[in-house]
Amino acid sequence: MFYFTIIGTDDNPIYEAEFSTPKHTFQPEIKELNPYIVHSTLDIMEYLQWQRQPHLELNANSGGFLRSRHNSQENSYLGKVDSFYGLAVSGFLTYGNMKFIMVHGNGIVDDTITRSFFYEVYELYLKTLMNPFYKVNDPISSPAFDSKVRVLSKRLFP
Amino acid sequence: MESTIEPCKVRTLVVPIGTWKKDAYLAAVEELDNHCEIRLVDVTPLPNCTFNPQVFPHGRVLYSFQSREYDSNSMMFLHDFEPYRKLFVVIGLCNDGALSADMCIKELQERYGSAISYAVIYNERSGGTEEPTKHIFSKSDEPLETIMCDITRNFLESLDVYYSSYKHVTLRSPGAIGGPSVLKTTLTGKQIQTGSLSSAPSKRINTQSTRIDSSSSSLSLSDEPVKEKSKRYSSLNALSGSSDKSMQRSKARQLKLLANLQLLTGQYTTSMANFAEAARILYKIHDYIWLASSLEGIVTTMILLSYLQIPFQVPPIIHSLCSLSQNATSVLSPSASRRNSMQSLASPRNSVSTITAATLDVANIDVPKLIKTVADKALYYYDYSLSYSVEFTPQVVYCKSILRTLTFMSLCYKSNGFNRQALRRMIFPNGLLRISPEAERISEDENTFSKSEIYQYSMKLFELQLKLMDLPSQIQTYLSLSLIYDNLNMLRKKAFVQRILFISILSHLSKDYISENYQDLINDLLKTYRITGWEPEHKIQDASSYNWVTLQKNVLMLIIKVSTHFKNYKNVVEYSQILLKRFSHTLTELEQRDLLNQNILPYQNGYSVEYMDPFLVRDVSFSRTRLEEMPMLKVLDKDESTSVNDTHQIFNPFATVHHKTKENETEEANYFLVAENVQMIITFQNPFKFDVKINSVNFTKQDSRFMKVLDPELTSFTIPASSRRQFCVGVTFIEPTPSIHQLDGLMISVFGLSPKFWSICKKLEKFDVVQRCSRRLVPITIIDQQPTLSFLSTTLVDNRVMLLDGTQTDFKIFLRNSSLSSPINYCNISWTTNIEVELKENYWVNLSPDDLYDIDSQLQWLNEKFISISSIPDEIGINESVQLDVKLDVTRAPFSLEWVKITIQYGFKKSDDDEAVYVKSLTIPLNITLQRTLEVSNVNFVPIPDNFEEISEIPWISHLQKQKDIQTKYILMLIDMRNSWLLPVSFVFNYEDYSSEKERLDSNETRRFVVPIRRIETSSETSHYSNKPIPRIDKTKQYITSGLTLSQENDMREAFWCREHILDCLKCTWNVSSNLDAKGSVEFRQFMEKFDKQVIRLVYPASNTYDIKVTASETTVKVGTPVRLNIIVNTRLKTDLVPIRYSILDYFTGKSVLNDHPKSVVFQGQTSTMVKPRTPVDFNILPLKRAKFQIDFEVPGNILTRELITITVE
Repeated sequence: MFYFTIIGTDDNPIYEAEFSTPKHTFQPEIKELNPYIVHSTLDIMEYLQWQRQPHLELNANSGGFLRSRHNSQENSYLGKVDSFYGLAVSGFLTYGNMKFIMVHGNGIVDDTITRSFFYEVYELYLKTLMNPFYKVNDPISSPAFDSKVRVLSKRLFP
Repeated sequence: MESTIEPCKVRTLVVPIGTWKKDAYLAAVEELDNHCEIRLVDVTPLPNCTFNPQVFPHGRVLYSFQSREYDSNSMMFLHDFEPYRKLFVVIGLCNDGALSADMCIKELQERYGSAISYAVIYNERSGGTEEPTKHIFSKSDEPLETIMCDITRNFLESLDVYYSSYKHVTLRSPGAIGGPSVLKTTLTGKQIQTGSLSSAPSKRINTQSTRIDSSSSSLSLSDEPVKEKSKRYSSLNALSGSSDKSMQRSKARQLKLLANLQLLTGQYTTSMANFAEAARILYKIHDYIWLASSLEGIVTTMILLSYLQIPFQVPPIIHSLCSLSQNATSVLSPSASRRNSMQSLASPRNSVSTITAATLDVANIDVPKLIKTVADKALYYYDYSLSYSVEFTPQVVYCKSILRTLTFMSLCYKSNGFNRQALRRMIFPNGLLRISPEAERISEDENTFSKSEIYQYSMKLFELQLKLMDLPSQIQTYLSLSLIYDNLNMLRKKAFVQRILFISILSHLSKDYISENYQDLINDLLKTYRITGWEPEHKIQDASSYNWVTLQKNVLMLIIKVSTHFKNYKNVVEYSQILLKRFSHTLTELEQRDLLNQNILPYQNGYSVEYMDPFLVRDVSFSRTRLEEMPMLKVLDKDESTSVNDTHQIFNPFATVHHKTKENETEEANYFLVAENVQMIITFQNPFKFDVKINSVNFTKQDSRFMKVLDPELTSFTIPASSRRQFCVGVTFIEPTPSIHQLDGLMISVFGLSPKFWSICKKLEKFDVVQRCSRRLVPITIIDQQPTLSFLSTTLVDNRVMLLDGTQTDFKIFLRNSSLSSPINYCNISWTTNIEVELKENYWVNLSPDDLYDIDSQLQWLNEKFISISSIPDEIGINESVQLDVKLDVTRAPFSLEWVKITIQYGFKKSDDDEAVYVKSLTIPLNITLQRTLEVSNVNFVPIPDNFEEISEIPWISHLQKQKDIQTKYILMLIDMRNSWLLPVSFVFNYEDYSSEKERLDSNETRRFVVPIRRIETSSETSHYSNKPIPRIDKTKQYITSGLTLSQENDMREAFWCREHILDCLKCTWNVSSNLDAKGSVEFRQFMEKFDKQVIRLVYPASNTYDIKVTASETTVKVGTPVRLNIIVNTRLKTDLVPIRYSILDYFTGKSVLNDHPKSVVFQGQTSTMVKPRTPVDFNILPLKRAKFQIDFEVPGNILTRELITITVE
């Protein structure tokens, strides 16, 4: 079970989705908590986005929320950025300062899968952004976008 | 909240005595709080006391003043282990000087028996009946600082007694005292086997140490000794009964207790030494929990000594435990390299070294890193103790240890290093600090601890099951954590923790433990989740922005629940209203109903409640119940035509349309009469999912001057959920408005709340405008009751009249002012005929200027002369009748005239200076039948053929005979007159000075009459007709172009002016022969066609381009006598030669005689010749037979120039 959001530059959610199966679903109180966890993670995301590379390397190690920062190949995917009790939070920062944040209900962030999920959603987001009728920071209401993200989540997080 | 130096704070309870008001009491507590730091040097020495202030005069006693006793009883199991958790001092603040001091002290002792020292501070003592004791103080007698010093002295004395009671007591761990009721630290996701010494704890610690490694950069904790120790401990555990070990433990714990108390009494150096010694022993006997607490004590003393700027040496036990001796360089190098003052890592006082490693001076080490290392070590031992059944760390201890370290780190981060500022913040968490802006700017690189490191450390707290702790501990934990996040400037994290705090409070039934400043927390939450300042009902930017409404709604719901929990109904009402006002779209019907019925309406009497929708009123309009003519405002402009006319120089084809629109607007304006009853239609909206009840609708005080609701009891409506409805309210008007009054809103009471003003919101704007909605102002004009003029009768039968064309008639109209209140002193009479009405609006568009002049002049005449009314009274009094004498003149009326409507606009002008008056109209229709009398069936012009030398009786001939040059100066106008009337008509023609005899025509008789008219002479005109434009009567009609060429226009002008000249001069008056009263005149204009060129040439010789004049030497000759013709050609053209063509015709047959055989005339052979203008030319002919010849001269192609002469040959 996962809770995925795209947060705009003004702390406003432009897309929210929950990927769960009948067997694995968030408990009601956790479901209510998810947006708060994502909102509080924005502090970490904003901290990370201004870190310089040398400093990052100093902090780079496994297990920390800066775990993916040592990889100089890409710096959009931030890996596991936060956690709260049994929940893990991963993040992805676009060059336009949109934040993709996902709450992992199982507490485990599989970097390979999560990275490819974020990048594919990023592709979809860019296509949405190219729509002349879409304004940055507006909620994405396109059902096509939603269905594509859900298909993607089913493929990557079965 | 857990302060970094909590172990050195003396817990002091401040209680009010007497009758305090909250604000005054809080101010007194705050004043006390300003003296929370007491220097030992100021305290009177106590030579025999354990805690004699003279021992360490640099020390401080730091008070922690509390106005509420939170946890003294529930934390009793910690009093041995952490003695600072005990309540030591109780201070009563008394504002009633009459109260007995002894009684007060006794009362305090009874109520707070666990404390060891008591004091009562009076604001002002009255009377000195009682003996002053050392526990009683008065602010009026001595300053508060001195009082606090005395209280400190008492405290030190009492503490000495308290400590002496501990000397022979075996100190037990919290787990041993509290038993199963003590909450053991529970780490989530970790298997802890109580009491077992399996490999699990070491594994757990392993991971823990790795984790710590990750955050604390280079500092490493050695695992090996622990494993070794645990083995040793397992063997020692079996020997726990050994008296030596027990004695050592007892001694060490006593030492630690003493160190703790010394910490409270400001003796930091001895305290540190005692802590170190205790730690040394405790480490040796593996008493981990007490060891950890001792290490924490050392941490506190290090911070306090740093604050006092007293150099100290790191105790050797720290060296060995934290392995500082081996890797001191690596640990301390980051700061060492930065500090220029650091000369070497070696201590200058090597002789102090006692154990294995060299003692490090504080000047050579990075204190914050050291403190963090020691704190980590303490936590490590706490962690380690969790595997024991009795000697375990309670969760509250573990948790607070983490919080203290976190607070320390975050304050270092906030103050940009371990500096004075950071230390002051640690010592006085509530104190006001003057912080330089430079220090506020945090540069990550310069900081002792990075943000990520601190945040990582804070995550340790979420490995604990915090919700299992008691509520006060939870509150303190969350409050401390939120402050830590605040220090890190992680406001969203802070809000998240605050939310958890509120959830925790709600999950407990107890209503105690209210944080005094929980309103601050609420404000923080509102700010962080952007609820504060977000006003979509006022700001268009907010309305068009997107927010995380789910979060906002949930936060508000939570705040409402918390406020309900604490019975803060003011907040409940306020936030419920915000929720409904701004987030109604996210609420379900049930939620909306609950908020309204449970949180808002029940509290409307005590708190500020107002209806949540600011756009309640969407429209207001008025509707008349009776159809009645309303007076119109008429502006009395003396120069009306200029004001109405378009003053623009450029022709505006839409001018008429424009004017018309304005009239319509005037018609739509709300004009009402005083005392008139109308219906006000109000459109309400209800965006909510519950029905909205409107209790009353009324006007504002300002509007009430002019109008009032007819029946206020009937203004109660219910607007169904999610709908828009119109309701009618009866309104009557009281007083006339001085000008147009703008109704901008209504006073409306909703849900029984007090009436409030609601403006009229016509349209809600969404994007790119300044205002949230466009407000509507309903213009209302209320005027006095106006007079009513009624039509009584006329002297005509059925308002019908039959008139002979060209006559005049008189009749009377009788009117009455039927008003009983107002006279009429303004009266304006106008009329409209069917001629004007039947004309198209743009009748003039395709007309030529001369036709238009005809029509316009006729219209003008109809407008000005058709009706003339005398005897219009200046004022028609109340209930007074008047008669109007009307004269109807149809001398120029067209035959299509059928009816006329006489409109009387009347009103009452209050003063002569009024520029406008309200007028009503009375229209009287008249049907007219116009009967034809004398008609002109044809008009013709002929030149005068003869000189009329014979004397004649015929008037026109005799007239001509009196004139000179009649053939050149006069022509004859032949007029065919017809009498269409039933009776014979006599008439007379007049043309200039000519007057005909009285002629008579019988009914239906037609006859031709001759009128001599003088040709129009050029010299008499100031300018040529072709240069004189055709006048325009209606100046508002402009012509861009007439569409004619210049010559066409000139011709038209000539024709026009010739006709006008004839019409001006020609008059014909008639009367019916049998009835001399029936008289009239003939209007020739409607009978006379436009002149053709032939006529113009006759009437107006100057129109000709060429003028040929022929004179003959003789006009009657004998056969064979030559005749000399003299020809002069005049022309307006500047030319040298003019061609002349001539022809000689037989006068009787009209045939040319030029080719006759035998020749009848001899001429020069050519039928054309060239002549010079204005030069006489002779032309000779010789007639050869008897005949009468007509010789025509003309300019070729210009037939109008033809001139002829007749020659009679005898």
